[in-house]
Amino acid sequence: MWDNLALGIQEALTWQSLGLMLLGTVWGFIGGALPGIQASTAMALVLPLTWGMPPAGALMMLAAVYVAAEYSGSVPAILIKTPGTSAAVVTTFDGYALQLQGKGGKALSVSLYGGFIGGIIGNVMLIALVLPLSRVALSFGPAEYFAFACLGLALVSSLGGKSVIKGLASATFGVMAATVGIDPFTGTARFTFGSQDLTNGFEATAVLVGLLAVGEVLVQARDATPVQRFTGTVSRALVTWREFRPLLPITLLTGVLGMVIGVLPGAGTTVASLLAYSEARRWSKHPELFGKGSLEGVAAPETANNACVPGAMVPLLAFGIPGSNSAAIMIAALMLHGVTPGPMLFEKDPQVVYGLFAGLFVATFMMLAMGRLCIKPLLKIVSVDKSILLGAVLTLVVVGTYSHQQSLFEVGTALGFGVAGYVMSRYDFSPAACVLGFVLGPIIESAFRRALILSDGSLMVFVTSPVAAVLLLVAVLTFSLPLVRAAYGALSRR
Amino acid sequence: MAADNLPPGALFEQVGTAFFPKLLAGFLAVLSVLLMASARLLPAEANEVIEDEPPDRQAFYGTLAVILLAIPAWSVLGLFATPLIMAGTMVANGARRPAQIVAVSLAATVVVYLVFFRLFTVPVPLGLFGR
Repeated sequence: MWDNLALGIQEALTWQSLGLMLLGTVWGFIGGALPGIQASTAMALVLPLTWGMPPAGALMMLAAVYVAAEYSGSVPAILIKTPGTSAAVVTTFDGYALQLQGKGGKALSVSLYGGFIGGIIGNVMLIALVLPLSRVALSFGPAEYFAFACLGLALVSSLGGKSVIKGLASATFGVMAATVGIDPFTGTARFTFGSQDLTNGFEATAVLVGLLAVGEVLVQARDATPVQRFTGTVSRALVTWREFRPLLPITLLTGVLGMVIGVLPGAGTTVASLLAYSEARRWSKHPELFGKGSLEGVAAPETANNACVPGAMVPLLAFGIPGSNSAAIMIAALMLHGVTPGPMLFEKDPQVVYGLFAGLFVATFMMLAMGRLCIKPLLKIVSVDKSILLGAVLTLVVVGTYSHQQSLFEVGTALGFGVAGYVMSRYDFSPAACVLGFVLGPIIESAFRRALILSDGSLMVFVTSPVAAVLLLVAVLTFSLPLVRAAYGALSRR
Repeated sequence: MAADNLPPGALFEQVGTAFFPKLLAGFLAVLSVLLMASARLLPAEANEVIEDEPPDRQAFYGTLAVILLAIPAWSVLGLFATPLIMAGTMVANGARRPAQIVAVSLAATVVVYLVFFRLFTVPVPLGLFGR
């Protein structure tokens, strides 16, 4: 392991990797700070660019985007009460109150230091957890893989939005879209309708970019809410060591909490920051200050959401199964380079996995180093005109998807899935669940069919394996319990 | 329905190419029934799509038109369609100052050219101009 870790550090410290991570950090800062662009959208927009890069460099750049975007989402949250990312919603509660009290600089520095500590805790725990878990994953057969992937989808669907049914339908739509193309088992073309372009199915890059970025462009275009502009000033006074020291216990606690939540498929940074905030208030000596400008109220969610980033890498690296949109983009980047995600990655491409470990540390340090420097430029970017932002995103989508294989069909795929993503958002379906369904689709189908081949077509294979049975049971309960509760509530009201 | 036209599974496999898509279609049908049942059972406000502000229809339809026209424009004009996509989206979303629209669109095209076609050496599409 240590040899591989040294290899990873070597990989991360090459000029090329450092340059890519610097680009990723700058883009992550910009993307995260722009309201309406989630960390995953920022990652999706640069995904086509990773085509010509070495796999380790591509993953490191995407990781740097992810880390920086999760921090910079707090900048508009604190300064104009407009979260840049959904995880930063909680930061508005106390961050904006601190800004109104003239303590914006303190809030921003607490967010930065908290995010840094969260990132380091998460990275250390990632390395500690992922190796033993990958050994567990090696003992998984197709039935267990199928069950695990189903559990991931059920969790994503149930945590994603207002309706579990709509969440699961979105995920199923994603899985369905992934069945288009040549069937890898029989070589038969499925749903290609004679089109050569569809022979290899929909390109993951185009689908992800479309659902996440184009759909959001349409949502933003329809939204008539005027853009908040920053007109005030930010105090230059940063948090002092004397002020930060009492926050250390809560940053350590919420760092671990954020990492653990990140590991759970579907939970993600928003859930992590919400839970961290409520835990911080519960443990605080001054819970009455929460919502009125508590530094703990800024430190807790920001630490948790940055700790969540490495957490999301655990199921991705150990099992090859993404638990969030951002992890799904990482998987897409791996597939783009012909690298098969999963536990065998540790044997076959150690420089990719260990490069990512080292890259996450470097990206966290870059975030800390550039966090202060970038605040002023970020203030300008936060106030950018919506028309310019949407035009730039659409232009990036068209050029980015075209650049992948110089195919207009891919551009059409991205734009078509974008319109579908908009319709989903409009009617409370979940484009995020659809993205995960699309990425997990081939894994689910392949595991399902392999399991049936090995069991001579008997579905009992999913019940006789205790691990698969338990995972499937949890998946069914995750999906059905909210439905039963809602039905019971509706019937008792009548 | 399209899955019905797919051939049966190979000898080694009982389920075949069409089985999984059919399973998904069946599952989607079950979800549709559940959705209809929940729409009937739950109070009306739980199913409503709530919007705080009246939508900006002009911006929405304008942006949608740019999206629909982007492919023909890109296939005819190649890279030269970039400023049109940028400017079209800006105008649809309320930009009114011609100098700003022109400057931003041209700047975006230069950035796209430098990043994608110079730095990442993607072949520059020139549409009809390249033939």
